[in-house]
Amino acid sequence: MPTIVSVDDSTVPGEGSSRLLLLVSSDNKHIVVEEDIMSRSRFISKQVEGFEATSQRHAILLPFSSFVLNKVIEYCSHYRGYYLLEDDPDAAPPGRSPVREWDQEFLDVDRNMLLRIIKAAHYLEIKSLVGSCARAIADMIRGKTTEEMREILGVENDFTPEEEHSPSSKCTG
Amino acid sequence: MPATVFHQQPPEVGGKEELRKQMFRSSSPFSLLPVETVRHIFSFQSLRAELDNTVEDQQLSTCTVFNIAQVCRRWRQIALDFPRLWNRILLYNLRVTTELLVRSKDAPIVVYADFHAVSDLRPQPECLTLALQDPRRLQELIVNGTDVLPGFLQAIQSAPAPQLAVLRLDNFMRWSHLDIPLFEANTPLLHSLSLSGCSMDWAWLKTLSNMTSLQLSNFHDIYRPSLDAILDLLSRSPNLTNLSLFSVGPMITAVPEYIVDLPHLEKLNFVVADAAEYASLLTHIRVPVNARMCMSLPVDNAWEIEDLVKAPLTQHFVRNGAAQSERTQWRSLYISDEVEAAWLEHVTFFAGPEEMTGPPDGEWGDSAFTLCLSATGEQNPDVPAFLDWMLAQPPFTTVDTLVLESTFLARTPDDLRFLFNPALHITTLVLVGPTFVALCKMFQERTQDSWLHWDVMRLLQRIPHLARVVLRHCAVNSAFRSDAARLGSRYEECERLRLAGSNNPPTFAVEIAECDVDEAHVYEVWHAAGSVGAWDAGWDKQTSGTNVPLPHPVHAVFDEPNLEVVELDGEELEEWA
Repeated sequence: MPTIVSVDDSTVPGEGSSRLLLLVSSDNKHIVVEEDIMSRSRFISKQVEGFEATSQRHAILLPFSSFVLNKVIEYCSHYRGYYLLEDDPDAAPPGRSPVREWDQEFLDVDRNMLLRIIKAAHYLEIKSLVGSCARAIADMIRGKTTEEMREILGVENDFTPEEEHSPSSKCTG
Repeated sequence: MPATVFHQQPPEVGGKEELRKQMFRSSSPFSLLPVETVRHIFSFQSLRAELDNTVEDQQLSTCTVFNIAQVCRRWRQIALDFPRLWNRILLYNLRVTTELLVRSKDAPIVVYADFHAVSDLRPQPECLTLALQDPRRLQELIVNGTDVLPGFLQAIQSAPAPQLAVLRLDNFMRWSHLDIPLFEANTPLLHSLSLSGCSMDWAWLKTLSNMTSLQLSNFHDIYRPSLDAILDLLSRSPNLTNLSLFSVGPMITAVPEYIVDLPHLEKLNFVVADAAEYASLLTHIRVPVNARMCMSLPVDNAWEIEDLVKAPLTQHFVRNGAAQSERTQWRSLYISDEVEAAWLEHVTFFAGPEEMTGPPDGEWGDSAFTLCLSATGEQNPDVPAFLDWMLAQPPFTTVDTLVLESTFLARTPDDLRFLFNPALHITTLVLVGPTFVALCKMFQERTQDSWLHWDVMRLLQRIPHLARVVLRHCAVNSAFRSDAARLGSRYEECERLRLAGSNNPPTFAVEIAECDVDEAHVYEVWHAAGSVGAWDAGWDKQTSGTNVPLPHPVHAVFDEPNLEVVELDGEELEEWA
């Protein structure tokens, strides 16, 4: 659960055509963003609903760095006002996320950054971004051998030699 | 006392290595991803996703999904707890099939068996039988094969398939008929059905509803459905987007007095031998104006298309909203106003269901009426004369983009005479594959020169209104490609001027798309074109003395400085004879 701190109304205007939210990253950077931009995040939306119920406005503390948070905000800003099926809570979830050209460029980052973005997207419940990140990671390991996958994603082989070579661990015969 | 790292016992032998591995794992962000997210990543690697279109080329050992399960314990556990990852049941090895059926647990399964595949990985009939043991799990069943497989018929008839969404039986028991309903007539979710070769119990077909894709092909004559039966089937699937009837009739026993609305239809493909069958169905369905129509040209019955063109195809339902009941009237009218022309916007003459996809997006641009031809005088000497006639009839006079498909091999220059008909307003001509090579070859025969690409272009430029030639999948040499690239770049500017009402004649542009300029390939294609049909045999006899009566003088303008300005007159026209 994020920590919620009270903020005064001069920091976060309450009423208006575009209400603002104060997001605080794990490196204690304060980022003000329009609520409308972050409405794609189910997590943020639920937080805002909570604010309205208590008539109090808060900053939202998030457990990832400002660098990652800014990337997420960039994504949300790009798709501001766009309808993406994956983010529609009322729509049936699509089988797999569609390919979006802009997303491919946006996610052309190093492995660690990609993994941090997908983690943040998962936390913020932005399904479209989770899907695009998942596709990008899947592309990284497609057609790769087991050893190459370990290398690419920094995963250690923790099988015992017996487990690794047991017939039940392989299906291809 | 809580257990912390400070209270742990020193690592035993091998423990340091284990600790190092733990630290390595915890330092990898991937190891911290939630299971749900890892599943999402894995879902892109499912067997289904990997093998859908490339099963022939795949070596099982290179399938990512198998490797995923061998990376580490966590990945393996996540993969094994994710049945959908394994729901594409492979049929090449009994042990693999069994293992996949176990791993996919209760997930709906996809079974694909191509017994015609050109591959070492042939499906095994016993694996298919095993996979079909419980039809209740079937989500998709695609079988391409000619033989009656042991146990197969029983499997698809003995139990309901409540999850079945896609059923495709191709080349199956050719020309035979199954009179027992499939899956006990209990397939409530079926939305895509393709039957080829073997007709099915029509009572079963009539239980289907809410389909989005229906393809029936090659039924034996005596099992072809009646028009009434087909309309009845269509009326229960108003969301149909893809309809293909390939040599299945309809049989015309009575002419129904109603029309079926198919407001979502995107592709309509007919291959029949009788124009009356075309007309009977087309006059009883109402489809969107932008539906892509694909119809075969019966090469030995060109006159039937003449009947078709004259038939009041849209007259009935666009204007009157009721079916025409008297066949005699089909010959009395033809399509003549804008509504009908728009409806026929994408009429194409093709010869198979696989051709339905059409050209790459954008190639036809904003064409008002694209006509695609694949039949030619190479197959039937009457076709050129017929095309000459047909293209002069409304609505074909409004064709602005003409596509000559790869099978359109002109036999002689005379076969292209229809292009020069002054009644036409073709502004874009698309030549696909060997068609262009065939044209070049015709000129080579005349001049003993080679690669007369520009000579062909000069001839084509005499087509009134033509401003753009697109060569797709053609063999061209590099010099021509270079010139064409420069010319093609001007097309947009030229279009802009034309649309702006400029008095300047449009610049003649050539665009080359998906063409290979490798010389070896060029000659390969060249010879391939020469070996098509009766091309080589009797070529000289066919061409000698052939007249090309271009119907009128043309004032063509090249603005390409390296090209000769051509002003044609009667003498030059005779040069081509």
